Amino acid sequence: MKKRDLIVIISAVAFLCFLSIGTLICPDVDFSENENRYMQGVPVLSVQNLLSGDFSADSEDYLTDQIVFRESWVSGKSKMESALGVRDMNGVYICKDGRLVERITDAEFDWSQYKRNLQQMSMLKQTLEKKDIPFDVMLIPSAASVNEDVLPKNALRFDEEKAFAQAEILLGDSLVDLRSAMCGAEAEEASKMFFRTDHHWTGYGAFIGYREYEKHKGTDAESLTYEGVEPQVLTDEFQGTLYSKVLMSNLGYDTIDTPSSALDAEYMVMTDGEMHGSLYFREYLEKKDKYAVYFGGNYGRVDLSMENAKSDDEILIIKDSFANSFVPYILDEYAHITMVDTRYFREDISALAAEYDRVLVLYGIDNVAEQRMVLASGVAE
Amino acid sequence: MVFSSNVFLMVFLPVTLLIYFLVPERYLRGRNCVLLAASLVFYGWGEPKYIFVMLLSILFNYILALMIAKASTVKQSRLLLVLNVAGNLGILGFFKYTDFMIDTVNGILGGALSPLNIALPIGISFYTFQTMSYVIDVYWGKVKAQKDLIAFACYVTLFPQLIAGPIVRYSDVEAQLMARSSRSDQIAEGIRRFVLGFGKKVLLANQIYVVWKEIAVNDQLSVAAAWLGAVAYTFQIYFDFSGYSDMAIGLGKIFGFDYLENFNYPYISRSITEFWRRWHMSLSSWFKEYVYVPLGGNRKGFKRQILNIAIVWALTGLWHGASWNFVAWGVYFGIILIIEKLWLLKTLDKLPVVFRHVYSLILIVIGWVIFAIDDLGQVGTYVSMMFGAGGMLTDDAFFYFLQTRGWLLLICIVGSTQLPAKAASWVCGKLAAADQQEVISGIAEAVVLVGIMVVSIAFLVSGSYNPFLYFRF
Repeated sequence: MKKRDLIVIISAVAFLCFLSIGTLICPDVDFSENENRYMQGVPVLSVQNLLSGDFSADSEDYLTDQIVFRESWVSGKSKMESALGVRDMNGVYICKDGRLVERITDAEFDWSQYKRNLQQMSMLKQTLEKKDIPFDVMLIPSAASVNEDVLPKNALRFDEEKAFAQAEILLGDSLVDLRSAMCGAEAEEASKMFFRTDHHWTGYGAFIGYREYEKHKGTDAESLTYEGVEPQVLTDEFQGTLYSKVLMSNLGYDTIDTPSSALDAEYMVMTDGEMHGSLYFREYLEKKDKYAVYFGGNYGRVDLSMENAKSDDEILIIKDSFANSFVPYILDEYAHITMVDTRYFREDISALAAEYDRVLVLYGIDNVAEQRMVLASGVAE
Repeated sequence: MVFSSNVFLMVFLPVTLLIYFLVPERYLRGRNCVLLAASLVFYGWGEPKYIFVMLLSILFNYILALMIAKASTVKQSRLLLVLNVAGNLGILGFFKYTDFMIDTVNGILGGALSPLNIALPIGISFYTFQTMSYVIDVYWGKVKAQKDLIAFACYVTLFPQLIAGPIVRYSDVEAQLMARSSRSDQIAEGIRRFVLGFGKKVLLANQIYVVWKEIAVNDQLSVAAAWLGAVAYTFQIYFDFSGYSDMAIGLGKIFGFDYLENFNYPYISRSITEFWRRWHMSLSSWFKEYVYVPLGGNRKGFKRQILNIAIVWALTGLWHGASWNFVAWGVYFGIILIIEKLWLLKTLDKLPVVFRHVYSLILIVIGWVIFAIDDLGQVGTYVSMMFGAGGMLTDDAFFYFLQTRGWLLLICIVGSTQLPAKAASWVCGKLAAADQQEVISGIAEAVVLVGIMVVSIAFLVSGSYNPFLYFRF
């Protein structure tokens, strides 16, 4: 027996043993904070599961989810790829300044879904115009276009100009165009609008949205400054969803902040029928998904009632999670704020909208292409 | 089950190896039983119901081969052979081509027959060809009929080559089924081959696939991007399939079987004729031996030879999948091979080597585009974009992937030539002079092999794309 062959055999056996025995010994993980999901548990062996193929699929998921040093494998892979010049991983761009930006290519962007949803918005607009209810749509430019200058060279992304042009045609003057305020800013300014490690806009980004919305409404918003709202830091240890996708350790942390007026305000919050004293769910600051400090996540319907609002107006916001950090800025301006999330809210939105003084649709532009919205009544195709 | 899965690597393989080597070498039938049982588990893992199709096929071929061997007249044995071939092709045809024929008939006659939506049993194209070669060889008297049902079933189901080849001929493993030993040099060689194949599949094929996938979805492509995408697919299919063959050959060696090579650096070919001597050799030689030669090969005049080539290549295309693009792909290569045979090879021989490589590679890459896209209309669109229909020479997609995947592309290019093998033997030659060279080279090798596995598992766990391409066949 040659020594060389023996060494090869022994190292192969040792490696296999390390993998299988290591995975066997390591305690199972129930929930992965970074992946924000429950991990596969020990698969159930039954005749039915065997025949349906569920047992084999679950076994593979179980071993993949519970493999020894799971996150080290993933972060190791990210580092290797990054060293070899790969700039997109798991649907995320690694930018020149180290920030992470969601990667949505033209082929991934669902143009027909996008157009259909814009048409829904346009129909809702017509319905509300007849009732003299002001209606606005604020589409947030993607992080890729805000941070265009630091994207990897020749990075592929969907044609956002075209998407906004379609929105302009269908929505006309109802569109609150954030592009002039958010896109093409100086590098320093642009880098503050989105989190470095998460797909959401920051407190500052949401402030810009707020200021532009006020301008659009016709309010004198020139005097509004970010310092003026006295942003308060909720946490400076935020590592968001995009971090979780690549698990690279050199990205640093993000800061979540919110206007001080909202922290001091008195109001009641109702999330899908549950009452709370505050929109800030501080227990989430101890968890991985710290953005959920706003409302504790997303619900079908959220209602906020203010004691001493500046007006008696009631506003309906049809929204995705970007609105969660936006609402604190407008908190004291309305007697009642209702937010509905089209992903979970199954009631007739156009009938609901008719009961309000104002209606705002607020989405990240790429989210408009993500799901099918039904906003106009009686047209559920 | 696939080799590049965690269930295979962390449970199936260790358990199978453990039980197999616990059975002493002198109880070979016991070892065969272990392999058979393991192979059935391996096969039935995803979809248990098709085990019965395979068991039926095993029994059918086992019995008919014995009957042919015992037949008293030539007429009788010929009848049995016809029955056997018809039976095998019937099973294959039913599962693989029924829906294809229904679609085609609907297309031609405008009928509205509804397809049966038959799921293709994994590996059926491979094991049907294996069993047919066995029975035909028995008929020809090349091999004796196998009386040991376990050994025969073991030959058909052996998990290393069960689902994606190589197509092992019975005559090549007959002796090893009845008598084989475990030698450490063979096991070590098997490990080397398996790890290299694993790395080819996970690190090269799966990764370069990303480039093809992202480029292929666009309906507007520059010339450069269209070529880059096609080249990416060209590498993907090679490293995927040859990686799988490496893993199969390696696992075979660990259990004491020597399979023939299936690939021999196909992309260094200087003609398409040469390419097909280097690509999927077990399939080409199967068609040569069991279709081309029996049809008369080149012995019945030139016209007949051309016809025979045409038949073989239409069938080769169809074997790869029940879809017109595979037929077109087979016909494409059939036509090129006939032209080369007629006059082009002689002309090529006079041209500089560089030209011959470029000629071969261009035709190979276009061939893979036909293979990759299962809609003939879209094949046309894609190929036309390769020649400028997109109206651009370069675009962002081309530069982006060149910058971010340039390294990978370079590794793929070098990896499909003999350079790595030459470099490895050069290093070994240098080491041979050193003291303790056995230990040093052993450790060096172990570091490289374990390194490949570690990196591969990091990529696997990171959950990129995984299924084997050749599953569909």
